[in-house]
Amino acid sequence: MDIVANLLIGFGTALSPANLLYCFVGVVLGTLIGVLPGIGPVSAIAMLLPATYALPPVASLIMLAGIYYGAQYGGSTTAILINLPGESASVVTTLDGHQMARKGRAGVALATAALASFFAGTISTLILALFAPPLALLALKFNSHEYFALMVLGLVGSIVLASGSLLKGLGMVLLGLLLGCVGTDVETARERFTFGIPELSDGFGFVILAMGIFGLGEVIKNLEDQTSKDVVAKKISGLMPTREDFRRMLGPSLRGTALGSVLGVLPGGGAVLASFAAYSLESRISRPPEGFGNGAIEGVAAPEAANNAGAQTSFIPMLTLGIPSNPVMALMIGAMLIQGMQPGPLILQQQPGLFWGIVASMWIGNVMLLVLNLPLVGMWARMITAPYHLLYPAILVFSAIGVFTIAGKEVDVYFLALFGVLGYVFAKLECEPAPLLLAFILGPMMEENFRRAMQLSQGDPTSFLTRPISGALLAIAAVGLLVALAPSIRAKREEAFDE
Amino acid sequence: MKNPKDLWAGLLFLGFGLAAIAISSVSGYEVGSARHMGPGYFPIWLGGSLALVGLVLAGKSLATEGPPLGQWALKPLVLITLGTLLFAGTVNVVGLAPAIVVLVLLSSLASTHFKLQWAIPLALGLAVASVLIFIKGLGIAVPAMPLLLGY
Amino acid sequence: MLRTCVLAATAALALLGATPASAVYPEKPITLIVPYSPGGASDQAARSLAAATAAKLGPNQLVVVNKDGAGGIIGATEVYKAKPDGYTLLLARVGTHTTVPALRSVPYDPLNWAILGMLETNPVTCAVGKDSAYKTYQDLINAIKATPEKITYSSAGPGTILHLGAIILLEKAGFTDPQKAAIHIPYKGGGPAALAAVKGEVDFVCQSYNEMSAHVKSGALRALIVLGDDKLTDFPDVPTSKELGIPGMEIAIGWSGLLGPPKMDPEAVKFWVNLLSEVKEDKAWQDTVRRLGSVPAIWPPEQTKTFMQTALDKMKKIATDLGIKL
Repeated sequence: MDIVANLLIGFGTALSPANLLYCFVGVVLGTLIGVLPGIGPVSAIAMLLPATYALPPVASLIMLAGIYYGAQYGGSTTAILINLPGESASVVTTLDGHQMARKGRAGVALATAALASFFAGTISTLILALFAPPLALLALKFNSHEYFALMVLGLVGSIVLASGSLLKGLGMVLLGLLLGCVGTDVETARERFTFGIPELSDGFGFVILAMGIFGLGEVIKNLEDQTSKDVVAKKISGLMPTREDFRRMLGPSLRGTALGSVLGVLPGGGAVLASFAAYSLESRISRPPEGFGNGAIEGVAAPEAANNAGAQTSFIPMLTLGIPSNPVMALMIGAMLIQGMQPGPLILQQQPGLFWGIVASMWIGNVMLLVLNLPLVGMWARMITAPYHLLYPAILVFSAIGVFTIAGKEVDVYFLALFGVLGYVFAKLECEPAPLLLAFILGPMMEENFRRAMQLSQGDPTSFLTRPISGALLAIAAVGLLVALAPSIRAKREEAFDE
Repeated sequence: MKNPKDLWAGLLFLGFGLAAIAISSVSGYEVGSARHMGPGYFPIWLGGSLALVGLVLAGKSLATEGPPLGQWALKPLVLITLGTLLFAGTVNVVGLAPAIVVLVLLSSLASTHFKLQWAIPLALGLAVASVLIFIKGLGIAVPAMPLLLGY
Repeated sequence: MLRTCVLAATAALALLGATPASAVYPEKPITLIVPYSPGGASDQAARSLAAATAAKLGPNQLVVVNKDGAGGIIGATEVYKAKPDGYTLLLARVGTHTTVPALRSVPYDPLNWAILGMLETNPVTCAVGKDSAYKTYQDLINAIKATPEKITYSSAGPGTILHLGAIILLEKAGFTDPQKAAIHIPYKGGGPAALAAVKGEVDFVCQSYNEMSAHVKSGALRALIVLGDDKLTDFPDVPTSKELGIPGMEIAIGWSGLLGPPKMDPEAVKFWVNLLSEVKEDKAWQDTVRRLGSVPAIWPPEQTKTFMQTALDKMKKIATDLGIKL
């Protein structure tokens, strides 16, 4: 297959003036809606989908791609500025991104997010073009055993990334796994911990948990001591990254891209892990002067790159196997079908123009995002210099509406308040919430795959070790845990965090 | 109490762990076997492990030094939680705009910089903006202000 | 400044969604509640209906809202209790109105609805991976007989029409305990269930054809049998259960219908019955539905009601006879 010729076909389709305009409109709308807390890419696409029906097929997909990237970036903006993660991927971005904002480096953090995403988008577009078929084979090698092992590895990584006590990190992971048990058991359809509340039958919504624990908890914590300051960040020091910043974000972006590209291929669970995995990898490799969790630029670049790379390569299972690997892909498939296109394994052979057009438009969406958002960075950054007593009621309003609009259920807002209290308690007790959130996402998948694997191997737990991929993943997890526990390295780790 | 943060975190974990075990047993979630696990298998194991971690953490905290807990921000905690709960309880009854006004005014009280001449315009501004964005713009199916405008 | 930007977005959205006004029903946008998550079979049915009716209603006048939870019961209950003014409708599914009500109690009467019509049906198909030794349905049944409680199959979850379909099929094949003859391995949704058979993690899968058509078309899965009477348009060679001499399988079929709350405004009911009869003839809609792997099946209200009633009664009886419950 001639890659250059294929990409030329793609860009020939995507680069017409009309299509560029649709891409631009999509990116603008996506960014503006994605900035609203609680409204992530899935809701944004679902809301704007009807507007694309009237467009020609390729144009509508290009606009949807624009909305997707725009909404994702909008979500990162909210995460960095006001510590409100609207989707799983931006949880990690809040860790260092919001700290950068508090130190007056909001502009740099936003620019880093945009640049790292663009960088990852460019590389993973090439990966998609070059290696789609072999990567699809990887997805077929992952069965229940392997998924379970991957989840274990992810959780071990999240304990390592917690900056406080290891024991507390473990406790938060276990608590997150327990919270993930709330809802209907996949295997028996039995409801657990739902207390007869029908809205709990599918468990707590991730966004509700994240916005409550991070967003509301943070607001209450900020109001604890009001004598010293009434702003999130007093002054803005530089909007654009310096040469030093660029040097520092290069390595993390590259590693994040690599990790995200591989994980994104795995349907169900892979892409979720991408940003968490990239962050924990970075926390073992990089030695930022300020330490992770205190506004390290590496802690923004790596997860943003991983997330975007994963989003790109999650197209591989959809296009080569016909499997939507996340809800956004499922919506995209629906949109394509309604437009009269048949996604799936045959699309490459039968409609190469369309396939490569989508690939090209994804990349163009990334370019648009950069062009649109770099000039806006200053405006966003200035927003958080507003007096906090005016800013925080607005944060609360948008959080409450955001959670309410997910499904139009008041119950969700009650839970938001509940998790706000819990978030504040965690902050008081110095319990890091990020491992809890990752465990909450991975828990249900981990349980499902574990039980299924045990059933398929007739209750033999050694099957996890004898299968090559799952054995290797578990071995890496074991080594990771030992390294984290080993006292000499632990001392170093704490030293790094104390700086 | 030498390390109050760890002690309370330990007790929190212990409480959640024991609650999980208690609820699983009382509701009769079957544990099943390793070959065919029931819905209770995971929660009971997790609850037990969490309780154990909590116990160790609390135990260790008695022997180690740690920073004090500090003041609890009780006023913001109560006002913000109450405001959010009231928003949830009223939004479908009195509409989005009044629910927002209630939430903004209540939560604004938590700030030491609170001034009514600031809070009222802020509440009204946010209410109008939200109605425009979410109801007019995004078409969310919730009444804006049914009592006064009848829609 | 944030507000300026958002207002600009709002204005842009308003332009995209500009609507013509009219005096009679419908005079404002109609909400179509899909009781499952975006991207699934029911969501696709709703969105293709919205696309097909856009010409008549105006763009954005049939707004698809996903309210998933509790196996579809949350969304269905909400419509059941909604104002019967015709502005809140339900994309009803086999789950909300046949299987779940047959297996446990739900907060509504599954037959007491304003029935506007059936929309489409989704034939259940059983398939094996491309490397499987089983070439025909009979091969599979022989294998299950030869190695009892060893052969595994995946489905989209316990108590779904796909799981029940497989059990009914095994019962008709003569197994005394059809729930134990083969081992049921549930997955979270139809996509992962079909993929498990592609990867060879399970021996076979029973699944709505629309959620595995891509695999069957690419050759990754081999369809062995279609439950019911309708042949697959894409694969006329795959035998139906009727052709194989297995009677009574037509109840194991997925379906999507359009319902409104009980006592819905008769004007609105009439409007929709008429509109659906127009959509029925719409070639573009038919093509979309077929592309999704479903069968276009717009039926008048009476026929739909009879079908729903029969399906529910039969499913209840099967559940009692075989001792299946949730």
